[in-house]
Amino acid sequence: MFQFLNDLHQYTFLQYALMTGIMASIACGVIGSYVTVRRMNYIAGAIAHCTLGGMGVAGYLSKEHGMSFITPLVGAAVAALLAALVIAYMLNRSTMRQDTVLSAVWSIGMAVGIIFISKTSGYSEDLMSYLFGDILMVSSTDLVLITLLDIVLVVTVFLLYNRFVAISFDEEFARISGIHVDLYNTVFLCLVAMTVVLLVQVVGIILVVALLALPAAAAGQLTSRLPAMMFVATLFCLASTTGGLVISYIPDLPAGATIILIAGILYFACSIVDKIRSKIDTFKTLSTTTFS
Amino acid sequence: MTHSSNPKTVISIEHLDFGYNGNPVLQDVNLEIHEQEMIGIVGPNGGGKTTLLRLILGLLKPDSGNIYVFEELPARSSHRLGYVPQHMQFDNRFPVSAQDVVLMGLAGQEGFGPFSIKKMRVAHEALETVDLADFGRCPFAELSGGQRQRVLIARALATSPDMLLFDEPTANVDTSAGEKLYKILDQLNRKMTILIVSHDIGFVSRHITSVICVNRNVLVHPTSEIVGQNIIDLYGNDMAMIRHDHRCSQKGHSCSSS
Repeated sequence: MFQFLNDLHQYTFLQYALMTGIMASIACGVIGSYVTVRRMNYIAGAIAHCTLGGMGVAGYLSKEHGMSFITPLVGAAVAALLAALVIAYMLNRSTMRQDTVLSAVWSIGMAVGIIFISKTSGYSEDLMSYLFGDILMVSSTDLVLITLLDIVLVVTVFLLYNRFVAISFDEEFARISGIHVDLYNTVFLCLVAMTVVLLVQVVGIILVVALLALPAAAAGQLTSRLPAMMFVATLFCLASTTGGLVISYIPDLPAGATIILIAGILYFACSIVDKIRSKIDTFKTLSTTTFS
Repeated sequence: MTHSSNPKTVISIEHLDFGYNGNPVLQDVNLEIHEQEMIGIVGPNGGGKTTLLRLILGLLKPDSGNIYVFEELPARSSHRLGYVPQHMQFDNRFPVSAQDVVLMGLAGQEGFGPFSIKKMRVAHEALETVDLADFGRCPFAELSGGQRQRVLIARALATSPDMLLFDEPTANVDTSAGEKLYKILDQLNRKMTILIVSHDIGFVSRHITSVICVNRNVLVHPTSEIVGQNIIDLYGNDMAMIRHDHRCSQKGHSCSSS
């Protein structure tokens, strides 16, 4: 712990990593809560895996064609937004089965990524960092882009919160009462895409779904209104990313996996607390009905 | 488009056909609903009542024929309809309070960001109307079936509708809660048209003005009150029974399809 604080003072990469974790936590808590109550984790998973395509193409263009301004983060953002738009269009307009559409986006995105990575010289070692994340590799330009994404996300949710909740709770009623459901669902999927891009920097493609689902699900067991759930989920996510970074640093464990394990422990702890609480409640009701 | 001037026509359906993937569900439906009426839509499962409701709400488009709601196409006028779905269809774990649910009725109106104080007041008044003013902060999931149903009515009322449409309002609601529901409906009926879909009712509020029987075709019956002791014993006494077995004279059908 002391070693970590000392190095944090000294090394900018560690400061960037910590900042990235904090930024990602805000997005994760807010959007993760929506995704969890709307049961859209599989959609988030499809978008996450699709970002491999974007990162692969970005790596190829910058290494093989000297377009160094196309960083993997830019590639991931473009791919995620594209995936979100495709999914939104398919879900709104076509009669195709939802899981077929998602599986297609999921696997085609990955396939594109793998092909471009294989054609990029000396770049295949980066595949691991794409898949499992490397929060210690975040650069200062990445951090600027991450902050911008976070601001856009928070402002949009603040403005559209009521409409999003109404659609999440009862899409049909929202449509009847005059909300442009298709439009707002598309906007919402774009927000999910941005969140996924942020979280891919922290824990990698494969573990994104866990970071979206676990803190929000844990928070959902302790709260009964959505704003509270978002707030607590953000705190849990913050605890996971910061805790994961600190714990993994000295023994040199993979940070992404450590972060997810902490989120998992928090989730199970909350489940147990919730179980015990409902047991106590039942006991109280029973004893009052028996003795009154 | 045809509509009589007195009383004012709220919904008018002319020669409407509708089917899913070529299987006809509704055929040659002709119907007029007037202002201030309380209509019951009944019929067997799969008979097309929900489809008819969804057509009126503008969620489905007819294959042929016309449907006008407040003299406009349903998609344009649906915001004037207050829709009350079944309370069972909602996710029990969705983290919202009763007041949050009522406010959803106002989410589509202009303005972005948090709800204004004025909208909060509208929501509170809607909760008062359904006798749930003290339950605003209560989690929606912790309410009883009857209370949830009333919260959904409040949500519909918050949109200040000109007509209310109910889908199976008494499904999964106990008898006393059902009675309370019908009391509220009678009160609301003084101000607006009400349409109630129910899958097996011979039993609807005694204030209902006519009953639409939907089973691919549509027939409109005037209500005829019947007092059967066994029915009263079973369902309480604020009910009326609709006879399906009798033959209405042509005059008895306020409108009909062949």
